[in-house]
Amino acid sequence: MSSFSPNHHGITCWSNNRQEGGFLVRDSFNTSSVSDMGTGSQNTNFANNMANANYSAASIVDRRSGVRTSHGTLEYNPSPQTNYCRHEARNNNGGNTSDAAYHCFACYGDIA
Amino acid sequence: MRLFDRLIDAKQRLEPYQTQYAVVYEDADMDTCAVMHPDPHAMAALMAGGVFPPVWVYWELAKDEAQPDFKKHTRGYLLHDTPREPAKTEEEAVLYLVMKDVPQHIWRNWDSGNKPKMAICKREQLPVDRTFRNTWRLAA
Repeated sequence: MSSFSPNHHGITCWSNNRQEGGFLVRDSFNTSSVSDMGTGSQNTNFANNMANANYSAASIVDRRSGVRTSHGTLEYNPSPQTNYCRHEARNNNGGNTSDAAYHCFACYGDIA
Repeated sequence: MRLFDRLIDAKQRLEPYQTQYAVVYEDADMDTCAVMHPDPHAMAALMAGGVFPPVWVYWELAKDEAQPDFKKHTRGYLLHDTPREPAKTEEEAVLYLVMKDVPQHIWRNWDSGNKPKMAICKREQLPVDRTFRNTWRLAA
């Protein structure tokens, strides 16, 4: 078993979710829950908070008909959030949010 | 053992538990209701006990984070050193995650106002067709 110091630099949290056709958390680490916030939009809630809001995150979704891409966004309003990160899947054609069969998220940063 | 290490250990030891419950919540400033889905590994860890800290630890960290001069957490030791939660039933584990991950102003006042702000339901009660997902609201 690995032991991580508070400022380790590996992946801190990840989740692999299905939003299309009924929400499902397939697999994850350091995730306490995932909130379905609307079409294509999810909050991944961390079990172990991040130390600060200066972390990095990425998300990716399955490609369909070559039109879908993914944007990972951090919620910074009203204050930095160290207990969750919101990420969205958006279509290239107009940028609307879109549900995905595979909506994956990873977070990198120091932990509290 | 630090919480992060306890989570690693729990994931190696425990079979994930896919709960039948989901938590629907909303507030006046939300465009649509949110649906909180407990994580299967977190459910397994909560039902086994000895992994997660008491939920008030997360509330304390939230208080720190709400300060205007917040830069980084300095009380992370609460996550690691506070005596851990004992084993819970499935329902108790879901309630723990409600108090941890649903905004406090919603679950603390879930039944005040004109209509409920939160409902715990079975996953099978949620619509499978998400065509109009952004129009979902809690029924009065």
